[in-house]
This record gives sequence, C-alpha cells and structure tokens, in this order.
Amino acid sequence: MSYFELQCTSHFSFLRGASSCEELFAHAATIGIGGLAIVDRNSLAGIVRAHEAAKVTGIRMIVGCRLDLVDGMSMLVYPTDRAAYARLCRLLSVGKKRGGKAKCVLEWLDVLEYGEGLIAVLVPDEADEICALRLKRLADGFGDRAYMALTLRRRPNDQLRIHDLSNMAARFRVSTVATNDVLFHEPHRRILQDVVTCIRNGTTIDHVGFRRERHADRYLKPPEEMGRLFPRNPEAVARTTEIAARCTFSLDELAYQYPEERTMPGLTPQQALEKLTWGGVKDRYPEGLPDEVKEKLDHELALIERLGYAPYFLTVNSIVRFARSREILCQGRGSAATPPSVTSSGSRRSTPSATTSCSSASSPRNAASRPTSTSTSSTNAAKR
Amino acid sequence: MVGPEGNRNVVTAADLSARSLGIRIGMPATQAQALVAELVVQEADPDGDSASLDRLAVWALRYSPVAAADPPDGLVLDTTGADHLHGGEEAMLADISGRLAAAGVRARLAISDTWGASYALARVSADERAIVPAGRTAEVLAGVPISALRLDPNTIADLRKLGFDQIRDLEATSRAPLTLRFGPLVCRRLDQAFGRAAEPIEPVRPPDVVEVRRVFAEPIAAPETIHRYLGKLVGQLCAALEERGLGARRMDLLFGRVDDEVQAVRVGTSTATRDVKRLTRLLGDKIETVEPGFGIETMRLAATLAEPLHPKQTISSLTEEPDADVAGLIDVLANRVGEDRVYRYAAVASDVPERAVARVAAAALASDDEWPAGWPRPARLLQPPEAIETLALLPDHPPVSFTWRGIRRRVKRADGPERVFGEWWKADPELVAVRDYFRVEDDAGERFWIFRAGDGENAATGSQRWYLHGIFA
Repeated sequence: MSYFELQCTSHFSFLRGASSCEELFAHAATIGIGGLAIVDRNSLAGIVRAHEAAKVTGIRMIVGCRLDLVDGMSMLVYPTDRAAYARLCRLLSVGKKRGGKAKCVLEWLDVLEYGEGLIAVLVPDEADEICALRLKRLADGFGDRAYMALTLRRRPNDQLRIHDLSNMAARFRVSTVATNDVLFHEPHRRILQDVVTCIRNGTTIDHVGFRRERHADRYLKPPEEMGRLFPRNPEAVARTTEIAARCTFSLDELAYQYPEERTMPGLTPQQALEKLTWGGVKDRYPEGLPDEVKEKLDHELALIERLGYAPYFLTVNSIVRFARSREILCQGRGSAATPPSVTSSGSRRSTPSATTSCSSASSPRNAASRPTSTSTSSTNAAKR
Repeated sequence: MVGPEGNRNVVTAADLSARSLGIRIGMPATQAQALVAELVVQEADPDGDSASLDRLAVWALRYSPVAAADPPDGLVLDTTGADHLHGGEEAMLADISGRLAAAGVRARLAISDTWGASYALARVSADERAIVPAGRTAEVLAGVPISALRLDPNTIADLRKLGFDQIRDLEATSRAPLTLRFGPLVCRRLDQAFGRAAEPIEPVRPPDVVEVRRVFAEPIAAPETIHRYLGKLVGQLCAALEERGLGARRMDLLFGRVDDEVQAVRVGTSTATRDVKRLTRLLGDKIETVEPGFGIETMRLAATLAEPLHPKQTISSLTEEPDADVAGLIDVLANRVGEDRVYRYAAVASDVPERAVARVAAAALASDDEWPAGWPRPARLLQPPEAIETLALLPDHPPVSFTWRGIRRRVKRADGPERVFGEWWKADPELVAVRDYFRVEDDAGERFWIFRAGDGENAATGSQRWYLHGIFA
C-alpha cells in the first residue's frame, strides 16, 4: 500500500509547525511513506529545505502551499508544472504585498486568477452550509483539479463528520483525499508544538486552555495505519498517490535565469554581441586585425554562444556605455569580464593583444557560477 | 542562638542539624562551640522574637477572632465557632500549616478542649497536626509527659526526681503535698489542662480595624437583649464603615463575660457589604452558640476584614429589572452549613474530563472559559472512573460488550475514539498518557462514556484497561 502525506506543516509555518523538513523526511523514510507535500501557511519558505531533505532521503517531495483566505476558507494547492508554480509564487507575492509584514491577504478571486494548473484541496471544518458553499466554489473553479481533504480529528462524532463530508463531496462530484494535517513528525513533539502555540498566543501553558491545537494525532503515520484509520474511504487514501502523480513539478526544473538583454531589436543577444564585437574591431585595429586576435575572438564567441553568456556581456556593454556617457571612470574587474571580445566590442580601451586570453578558464560550464558583474576596481586594473 | 542566662551564655535555640550534632538547649555556649568547631552562633533577640510573635498572632486573627501570642514560641487561638469558615478543623489546620510553611515557619498544631492540652499536644504529639475530639482530652492528656505542663524547668526536674513522669502520675497523687512542696502552680496547670479551671485568652487586636463596642452597666444574658444590642452595634459599625468607604467581608462579635472569659462569633460574607439588616441577620443566627454564663459585660463588634465598597447607582429605568442579588442567600447558607459547601461549578479549558470543571466560590464572577459546543459530554461523571470488563478489538474499535457493576451490556452503537492526551505540564506520567473515549449505546438504549487507558498500540501510553467514566442522561 502506498500513501503520500499531502498536508505537512514544517516549522517554516512560524510557531505552528514543530518539526523541520529534515526530521519530517527522515521519519517518513523510516515508516515507508511514499512522499511528503510540505504545505506551509501562505508560504513556500520551507520547500528548498524540503527539496534538499527529499534528495538525502530519496523520498518524493511535492511542492505545495496552504492558502488561508480572508473569508476563512483554507485550501491546499499543489502546482502541477513549472508554469503553475510561477503563478502560485505570483499569487503569494500579491497577497504578501497587500498584507504587509508576516501577513498575506488573499481572496477567492485571486486564487481563481492564478489558479490555472494548480491542484486545489479544500480543508473543511464541519460538513455544514459554509463548507458546501466553498466546495461548490472550488468545484466550479478548479474542475477535476478540485479535491476535498478528509482528516481524522479524533474528536467526538469524527466518523460521522467524515461520512457527511464524503457524501457532500460526492454530491458536488469532488474527489476526496485523505490527509493527516501533520504538525510534527513523531508523537513526542506535541509538547514542543504546545509550547510554540503558547508563544504564538503570548501566554503560558497553564493559561493557554483551548487555544492549543485540539485535533489530536498530528504526527506522521505509516501507510498501513492510514489505511486502517480510513476503512470506509480506501479510495481517499489511494488518491494521495494520484495527486502525487499529477504534480510533476520539481524544484530541479528551476535554474538561474539571466534577465533578457535586447540592445538591438531583431537580433538575438549572440548576434548582437557578434555585431558589436566585429564593429569594435574596426575601431580598435584600424590597420587591420592580427590573425592571432581574430583566432582568439572566434574561439571566445563560440564559447560564449555555447554557454549562452551573450546577454551578460551585453549588460556589461550597456553599463560601460552609460558610464562613458556620464564621464564616469570605469574599468573591468577581474578576469571574468575582460576577454578580448569585451574590449573589441568597445567596453575597454586597452589593447586586446596585450591581455592574456582567459575566458575559457574563467567561464566554467557550471551555469550556477556566472561571471560576476562589472564594477570599477583600480587594484585589478593596475595589476594588468 | 545564644543568650545570657545569669552570668553565662547558654544555647537558647538550635536548628535540626545543630541538634543532630549534639547541641542541646540550655547547654553553655562555650561547650557547644567546643563540640562543633564550625558552629554558627547568633545572638538571641528575645524582644524581636516576641514582637514578631505578636505580628503572627495578628495574622492568626484571620482564622479566629480570639488569637494571642503564647510566648516564647507559641500562638493560641480559640477556634470555637470559627473553623466552619475554613472547612472544618482539619482543613483549617492544614491551611494554617501550609501558609506558615510558605512563609518559612515550621509549625506544630493541635486542637483540643483547653489551652493547656493543646499546648502539651502541639509539643509532644507525634502528629504535626493533632486534633482531639471534644470530651476526650482527659484520656489523651494522661499519657503526656509532665514537661508539657507549662511549668518552669526546675520544677519539672524536681518532679522527675520524685518519680513523676507522666501527667497521669500527677493526677493520681493527692494535691496537698504537691502544693506544699511546689506551690499552687502545679495544680493550677493541671486544672487548666483538664478544663477544670478557666483560662481566658486575651486576644490581640489588629491595628486599624473598624470596631464598635458597648459596655453594659448591668450584665446581660437573655438572647433577646443580646439581639437588641447587636442590632444597635451593627448599625454603628455600618455607619463607621460607610464613613471610610468600606464594606465588611468578615465580622467578629466578641462578648466579654463577667468571669473574664471571651466568647466570639465570626461571620463571613461573600461580597463586601454594609447592609445593616443582612449583617444583623447573619450575626443573629449565630447568637445561640454564645454561652452567656453569669452575664455579658461588654460586646465588641469588629470588621476584621473590610474591602472598599463604593456607593452604586441603582437602576432607575422603569423597564429594566435589576439582577437578583443572591449574595445575601449565599451568606446565610455559607454561615450555616460552612463556606466550603456553598459553591458553583465553572468550566475549565481542559480536555481531561476530570479537570474540565472546577468548584468556584459561590459569588465568583463567571469565567470566560466555555466548553466547545457540539461535543457531547455525559451528564454524570463517575469519580473515579470505574474499571469495566470488555471485549474489544484493538486498536480502533469500541468494545463489543462490557460488564459494569456486574451487568453485562452489549454495545449496539458507538462513536469514537476521541483521543484525549495527558496534560504534560501537570505531571510526568502524563507526558505520554493517552485516553481513547468512546460513546456507546447498549441494547436498552442507555448511553455510556467509556475509555481505554492508552492508544491501543503503544504500551507506554497507558495500561490498555477499560473504564466507564460517565453516563449520558
């Protein structure tokens, strides 16, 4: 039996979650859970750590977020692809900009606007009219991407509540999915959870009373136990796997993206760079281009093309051009920004043949380490 | 503690650790210092001691209107008719010793019919809190050593030499030779201890107490007369209280008898008040407990505990009904049956059923805590839960049947489990304790609230035994 826990709150939900992503994933690995979705409150803060923990433990990590809307509706959203992830980030940015520090103000209409490609799971309270209204809204807005969470609370009338909720879900043709609303990875963390709840409410454990988390058993449970706890809803437990399969997005898809640099309309950055370079050559070597330099330039331009660095050099070019227009002294810094192509394209005034070509060495093919941006540094310039 | 005795310094007091090293009271200071090299010696301060004992006596007035210092190291209280305000004699002693302990004073307490007997028992009884039931003083006293008779040490030493060891030995001897040899004090102490001779307590009066008094030219004794003067005294007291903007929470009525004996009546109120009629009634109810003896010479009425009470505007609207004031009823009941027996129940924010209610004072304000609506709770909670025999599948299922008080019941319907965790901040065993509560209905339609100690899986969470905790109405 396989089970994915789709509602884990890490301690990135400040003063709510009591376990770190590392602890959650390590524990999930020992009890045989297929994967975890970290859903912090109106935040994606935990997913980087979760991603790393997932890599270490070899357990699937599903990117998710719990949205608490201003009208009291709570839902879990999971981006299915990279575009949906971008929309989710945009949605959170909108909410946080509205709410100010540590707040996030989101309305249902915002969710609808950015909801494309997101799987949405309603977190219901009781099976009442409000819940029906929200469920209908969700079903209309998300279609087959709408689900409803069934969570045991270990409180009176629990089974009846689950029964009513699943009936209501069937009425609106929404699938149910079992979650455990995890706040900590193992039972003993309840104590720490109570303590952080006290801190959040600014009170002591003796006076916190019913403001404590009242729905019990908020730790990770093995798949067999989840199956045992939902004897009447095996399909809801199985559906966790289905949702996990639908969420194909992984943080691995995200890589550093250099902003676009379009100096010359109609040309790609690489074409623009080449045009600038060969243009600069004419000014730099009025008496004709030495073969040695030409060879170097060809080599470098090919390398830049292969690595896709052209926009970066165009940025340098535009900065230098701006600086010159204002008569600001500017010199390249370090080895990264001074290949002959730079000087040739007019970014520098020194003679390229006097410099050693080092762009091959300074541009390792690791995309993560981009050449550093230019700035004036007289020490480096003096060294040359 | 070292103080002068004659022309040399002797040990006047020693703590437990000093005594375990062989230091005895009365031992010359030099000898004690020779015995224990690192002895911490401090100068005794008898005046300071007696002053602080007097302060303690004033404090003890909270328990009884007749309290006095009993130098050098005791307090004496006449608690007749006062213990009911503190929940009975036992509860009162526990309260006294608890409060003293909190202030760093270790106290030995005894209650008996006479001052002398209480004095002796407090000093020799094995029990730190001894209570002698009324009328049994004589048999308890018989076995007490004579050193507890409030005689000076020389007399006791001489009596010991003559072979008197316990009080029963002295009782059995003819009195004339004793009086001849040791003076009248020995027999008087005996009589006082057994209650044959009167021994009035001269109570301390606390400073700043609103008090009114009346001295009678001719001693009074008839209850009607007492009642009449009581009404006048209460009127005066309330006027005095009003002048200061106070209301009485506790009042002491002291009767000075012709024979110097003091009789006291104490009443408490749940809210500060200066309602003449109400207070007169409260005190009047108690007058029958007063023994006028040969007549009462003085009556003193004091508000020993007063709180600010400012005049309140009454509701002047024609439509609004004022809230019924039950404070008067509460006071009458509390002073008749005891304050601890008049109470209200209030909700407490706790998931553990036993802790979800608490007794609060009858006049306490309503608390904000409320139980969550929609969670059925039984009308009757058994205290403690009763063990039942069950047949149940672990870990999630309710029992199929259970036997409670010898009757086997088949479970028709059940709801649960409701998981209740121990409150880990209260006690160590509750760190992991879990109870799974089920609401079950039997064949006859009766509903019960049963629980399993433990979560059915992990042995650390409880014994996995089943209990019946409540019955639904």
